[in-house]
Parts: sequence; C-alpha cells; structure tokens
Amino acid sequence: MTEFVQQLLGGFATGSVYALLALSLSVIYSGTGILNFAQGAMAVVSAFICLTLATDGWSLWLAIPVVIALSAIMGAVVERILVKPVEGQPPLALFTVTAALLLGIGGLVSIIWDNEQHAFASPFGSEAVHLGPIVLTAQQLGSTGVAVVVMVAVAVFFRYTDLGLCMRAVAINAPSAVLLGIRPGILIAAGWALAAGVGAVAGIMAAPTLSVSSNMMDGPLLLALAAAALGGFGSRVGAVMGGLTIGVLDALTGRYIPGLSGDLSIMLPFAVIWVVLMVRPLGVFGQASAVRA
Amino acid sequence: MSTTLSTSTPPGSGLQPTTRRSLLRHVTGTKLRWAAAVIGGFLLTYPLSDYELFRLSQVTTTALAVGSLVLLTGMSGQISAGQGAIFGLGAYTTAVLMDHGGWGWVPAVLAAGVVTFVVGLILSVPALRLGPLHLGLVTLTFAVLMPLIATRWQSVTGGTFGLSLAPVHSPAGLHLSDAQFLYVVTFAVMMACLGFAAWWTRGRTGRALAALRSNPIMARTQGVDTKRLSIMVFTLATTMAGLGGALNALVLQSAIPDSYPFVFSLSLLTGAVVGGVRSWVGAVIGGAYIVYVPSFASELATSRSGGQWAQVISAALLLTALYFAPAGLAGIGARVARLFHRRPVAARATH
Repeated sequence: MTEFVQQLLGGFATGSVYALLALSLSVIYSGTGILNFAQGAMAVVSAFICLTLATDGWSLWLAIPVVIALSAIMGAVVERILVKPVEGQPPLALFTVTAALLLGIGGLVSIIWDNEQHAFASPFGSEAVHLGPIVLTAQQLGSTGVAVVVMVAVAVFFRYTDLGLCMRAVAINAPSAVLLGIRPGILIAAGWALAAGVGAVAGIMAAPTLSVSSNMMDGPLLLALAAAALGGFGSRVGAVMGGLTIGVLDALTGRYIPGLSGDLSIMLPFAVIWVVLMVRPLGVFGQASAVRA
Repeated sequence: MSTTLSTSTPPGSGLQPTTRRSLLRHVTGTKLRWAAAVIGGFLLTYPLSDYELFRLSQVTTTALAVGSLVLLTGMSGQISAGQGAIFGLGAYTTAVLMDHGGWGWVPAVLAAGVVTFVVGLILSVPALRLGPLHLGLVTLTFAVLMPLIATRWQSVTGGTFGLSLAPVHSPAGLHLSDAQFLYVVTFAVMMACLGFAAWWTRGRTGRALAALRSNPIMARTQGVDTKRLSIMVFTLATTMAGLGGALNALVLQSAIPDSYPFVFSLSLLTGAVVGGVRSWVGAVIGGAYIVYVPSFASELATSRSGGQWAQVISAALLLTALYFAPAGLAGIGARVARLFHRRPVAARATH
C-alpha cells in the first residue's frame, strides 16, 4: 500500500510537468487551431538557455525568471514571423508548419549546443523529504509546487484579467471578437508567448530528472499530446487533469505491468490517444465549440 | 510572377472559355507528357553509372511514398504523419518473407502490397472518424512506434541490425546490370502507380475528392459517397507507400529500424509539400529532394553536424514552400511553363 501511494505521488509529480506542457498545447490550440508539435522543442531551448546561464554562474532563482521571459518573447516572435503566414489555412499547412518548427528547432539545438546529456542541478536541492513511510525528493515536491502555482496563475489570468478574457473571446469566436474591437493578431501572439513561458517552466522543472539534452522533451511531448487528447484539445482544465492522470497512469503501469517498462512505456500515451480519439474525439472536458479543426 | 504572366499573354485571351478543342488538346498534351516521362525515364538506364542508378532507384521508390501523400493529403485532404511507418512495414514484410521464408523478390513485394493494403483498410476506420489534425496525431503515433517495434521484435525483425536481403539479379536474357534492372523495375512500378492514381483522380473522382477535401458535409449533400471514397483513398495510398518501401528494401538490400525513424515520416511530408502536394511531378521531385538534399547538406557542413544542418535546411525549405509556393516546386514549374504556352490553361479536375 505504501509503495502504491509512493508511486501515485511520484506520478503526480511527473504528471505536473505533462500537465504544464499540455496546458501550453491547449492555449495555442484554442487560439489558432494549431496543434504545436514543436512545443517540446521550444521547451528544450528554454532548458538549454537556463543550463547555459547556470554554468555561467547565474543563480538559478535569477536565471529561471529570465529564461521564462525570454521564452515568452521567443514564442511571440516565432508566432508573428513563422506561424502567422499560415494561420487560417487548411490543416495541412497548420500541421506542416509545426512539423517544420520541430525539425528546425531540434536541428538548431543540436548545432548550437550538442547531442549530449547534461546534468542539471535541482533548484530545490537534493534532499529527501520523509512524510511518514513515504519518501519524496525535494525536487518532486518543488516542481509540483511550481507547476501548481503556474496553473493557478494561468487560470486567474484567463478568468480575471482583461487580456485573458480577450484571448478567450478570440478563441471562442474570432470574428465577433473583432467586431467588439479586439485585435486578434496581438492576442494570438500573446497566447504563444504564454504557452512558451509555461512550456519553459515545464522544461526547467523536468530538467533535473530527465537531464538536459536535445531530445529530452520527446517523451513528455507525446505524453502531453495524450493528456491534451484525453482532456480535450481546447480545454485548459482538461489539459491539466489529463496531464496528471497520464502521469499517474504512467507511473503505475511502469511499476505494475511488467512488459511496459523502459522504452515500451510509450505504449501508454498511444493507447490513450487511440482510445480517446476513437471513443470521444472531443476529450473528456472538450466542448464542441472549442474544437476548430 | 503574376505581372509577368499578364504582359506575356495577349489581351483578352485569359478570358476565353475553354473550348472543346483546347480541352482535347490538353488531354492529348497530358498523354504526351506521360509518354515522354516514361521514355525519358527508361532511357536514363543507359548513360548513368550503376551508382547513379542506385540513387535514382532510391528516388523512384521514395517517390511512391511521397506520391501516396499527394493522393492522400493533396487530393483528399487527410493528413498522414505515419507514411514512413507504412513504408517501413512494406520493407519489413518483404525482408521477412525473403529472409525467413525464402521467397523470391517478386512474390515478396506483392505480398508487401497485400499486407499494406489490409493495414490501409484497418487504418481507414480512424480516418473516417477523425478530422485531419487528429488523424495526423494518430498516424504520428505509428511513426514513433514503428522503429521501436522493429527493434524490439527481434526474433522476426532481427532487432537493431535488421535484416539483409538477397540482391536482385537481372534475368540473363536482358543484358542489363543488376542495378540497371532494379532501376527499370522500380521506375516501371512508380510510373504505373502514379499513372493509375493520376487516372483515378481525374474527372468525376477528382471532383468528388476536391469536394471531400474542401467540405465533407457539402460533398455528402452533393451525393458523394464520402465514406467509400475515404476508404478507397486511404487504402490506395497505404498500398502505394508499402510497395515503395518493399522496393526500397530491395534497392538498399536491407531493412533496419534506423532507415525508418519518426523523422523519416516527417521528411516524406516535407518532400510532398516542397515538391507540390497536388502534383504527380511533385511526388518525383519530393522523392529526389528526400534522397539528394541530406547528402548535399552533409557535404556543405562538417560531417559531425551534417545531419542536423540537413534537418535545419529541410525545415527552412519547408517553411519557404509553405509561404511562397503553396503548390511546391512543381507549381513553380507549371507557372513558368504557362509563360511559354500563351494560352489559358484548361481547368483541371484537381483544383
């Protein structure tokens, strides 16, 4: 029983990273109808920048906010320059543009940095925390805490700020938002900035566990895609719930189903994607109006 | 480009309706062009070296996979990010039958066609239910899974080292080298498949596909059996990609997981978009792009990061094509050709 709870909590901790990444996916999807396959690659860039700053002697607590801000700017720039020309075009263009970003960013990361794995010290230290019989690392607790703070902040942003409300208006019905005097272009860029910022947090929080490398986010991205499919691509609540569920499922299947450990654990997100899309393509939390494609 | 076009065209001619005669001329012109392509392709057998023919055979087999995307994505609007996995499945089917079963290459390739045909039928079930983006996501999972299964299922696929295939020998009476013979075979299959697909997507079916692509509901109200059409397109495209993979394994004389990584599926998509996603010429250009561009890129850069530079160049070209040439290189070629023809191009069924 203790071990089950241990696995469950560990699953929540990794799931919070998937939830953040899925949240980024859903913010972009509801704004532009694009499923951003490059979200993981963008997070890798953030993690590498953070690593570079840290090795240059920056304090992590200073480096992390700087990297998040830089990533947000980068997200907006990518959208304005590279993605904007194809917005509103048929699905093939939307699909290929993020595939191109995935290829391009992945290649650039390998060229600018390298293909090696780099250890990344946890900003929360390396102590273990004992909660009765259950042992969690400070990294697990800290990253989950940060993820929760970011999720709450995003929820508050979309619920209570003018910018957030305008972004939702554009996502729900862009033409009538334009009639209300909202300029969708800036808001879509803001959505990409937000998504890239949240993705940066996901990348940095995953870095101590996964270590930083050009393909560190490949697995998490697939799991986040599964999470987004499970929760419904346009739903932020769904993305977070989906991410946590996938994290827990991943931990439990890896532990209790013998064949599914190691590289075959990838079967789980795929099974989730297939089943959900076949049974309920809108996802558990999805609503018809939130789906564009 | 458009201003050049208007100055070189006599005034008024752009407004003339397509007459019966010009339509006739257009059809014969198309037939002539296909015939020229067939003859030209076969003539290439003689002047080129065996190594160049080996590369060209890679192009023809890859072009089958790109052509399957032209059919699937360009014509019917469905996205497959897993065409590389189907290509690999065709390759492995042939390799397993030849290696374990001792089959000859002809029945092994045909069997790969049958296997991928059946897989296409099965895959068309999600294709019917899902929108293009979600279908893209589902097929993407196959692209990721394929090399993993090929590595893990060691008893059948030979694991990381894969399987090697017996070389295909030219029949004694033909006086062709093995490479020449294989090129002739792959070229003939490519032309037959592309020709069949081009013929099939002409006229009535082409218009039905265009309707399906732009608006499935509208297509249904116009009496198009969208379900049947989607299943046919998906199955045909899958079989084409599978045959391409089978022949490609013969050319490479091997089937290894590293030949069909997830990125390969994406580069097939890249080839289709860069070549021209609604053009059969584009399929061949796309095949050539996939075979030749990575080696050019590695020659330009240092060997260590050659693969990465190829990836970056590929991405840049893909974006450039998306922004400036949505019809791909084939589209640019057609526009240039139109400058010289000085007549309105007959409306095609593929619009």
